[in-house]
Amino acid sequence: MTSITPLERLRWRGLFAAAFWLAVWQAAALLVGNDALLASPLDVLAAFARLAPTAGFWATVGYSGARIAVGFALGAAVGAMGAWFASLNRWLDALISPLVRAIRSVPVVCFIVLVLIWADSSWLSVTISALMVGPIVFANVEEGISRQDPGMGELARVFAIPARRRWLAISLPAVLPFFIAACRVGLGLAWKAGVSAEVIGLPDGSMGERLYQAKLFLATGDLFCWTAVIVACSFVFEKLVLSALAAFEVSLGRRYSKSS
Amino acid sequence: MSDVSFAYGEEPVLCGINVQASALAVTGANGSGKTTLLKLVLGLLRPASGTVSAPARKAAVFQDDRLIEHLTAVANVRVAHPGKITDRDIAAELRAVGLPEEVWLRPVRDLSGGQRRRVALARAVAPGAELVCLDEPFTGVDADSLPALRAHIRDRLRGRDVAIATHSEHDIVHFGATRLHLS
Repeated sequence: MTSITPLERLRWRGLFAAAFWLAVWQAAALLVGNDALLASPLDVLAAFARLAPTAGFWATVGYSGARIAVGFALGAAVGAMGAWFASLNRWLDALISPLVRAIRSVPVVCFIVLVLIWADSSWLSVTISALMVGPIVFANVEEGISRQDPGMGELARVFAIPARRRWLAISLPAVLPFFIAACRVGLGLAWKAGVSAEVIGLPDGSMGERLYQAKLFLATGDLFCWTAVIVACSFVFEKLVLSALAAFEVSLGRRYSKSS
Repeated sequence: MSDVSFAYGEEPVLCGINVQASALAVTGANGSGKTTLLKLVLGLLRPASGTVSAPARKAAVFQDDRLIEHLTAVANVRVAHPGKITDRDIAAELRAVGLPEEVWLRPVRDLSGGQRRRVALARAVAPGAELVCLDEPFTGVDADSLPALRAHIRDRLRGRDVAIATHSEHDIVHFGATRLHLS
């Protein structure tokens, strides 16, 4: 007789929970009896089977995905650089920090309207994702920089460690965990805010536009299908970025262990 | 070191220190200013008055090891080395301080206190520095291996300037150092 390992038990538990809630959803859909109000899991599956083989489906996923990814990268880069600049000088900090606080406090819908006035709606998800991610990365990286061990600075001075080596061996690894923590939060937020902005701005060929159309035509099956696709994209994007960052962190730890 | 004084704010720590030696042992009770004096020698602190002259290329064993936690023992030695240092040279340094080979490529945060101290010692005595400051260098090293390690460090530092803060008479005798007692 074979025994079940804890990992297998965990998987079975997860499968059971998923099956349970799918059954509840199916039962609720049967009770409501109107697929315009509540589509059943089978309706959603049918919608996916209808949409997935079309080129338009993948073009839509690519359109929103690329823009949100660019927005995330932009927000992360600008946030991290801003934090670095702010840490250099108190005057720079006094200039940058209030701006970041203001971006954090302003409701996202205000930015959406502003972007729609100033630019084409195709820029919407890029801008909004960047604005959501930037302040989070800024705050975390600034915290990481401020928590750096001052003793490491003394070490670098005594041994006259060159600036590049000091950056790669001491400064970057000290701040990277804070950057990764910010990315973990920012990745999901970029997708949520980016798609929400698309629903308001309706850029042609975006996921947000498809969600809006589903609402217009009361196509709840399509709505749930696109929602599932957005969650899946967000999940895959998060895994990819976090895996890349984790690999980078490991490579930094191994750096200098072998002569180059 | 000529007529050196230093204070933390209003509180004087060192007053009128005059000493010239290629091997200097700084002794004194806790809080007497031993580490402060080493920091002055290393150029990490500026004296309130007087002058400190020391060679440009320096190395140190800090009181708290001060290793780069996520890096391996090998990497800690390499990063602190001013120029290029070969794997073979690093291996020789680590072997000589008695660090077991199986931990050389582990992050130093995973090493024991004594092993970390050996990494700090290997890093400081690796060739390159003209002045090496050792702040209670053998803390955490087990008594059995201490005499051999002390002898190795002395041999590696021969011909270089050394400043050592210590409570141990053995260290002073071993390094043939001029004693400076702080009270």
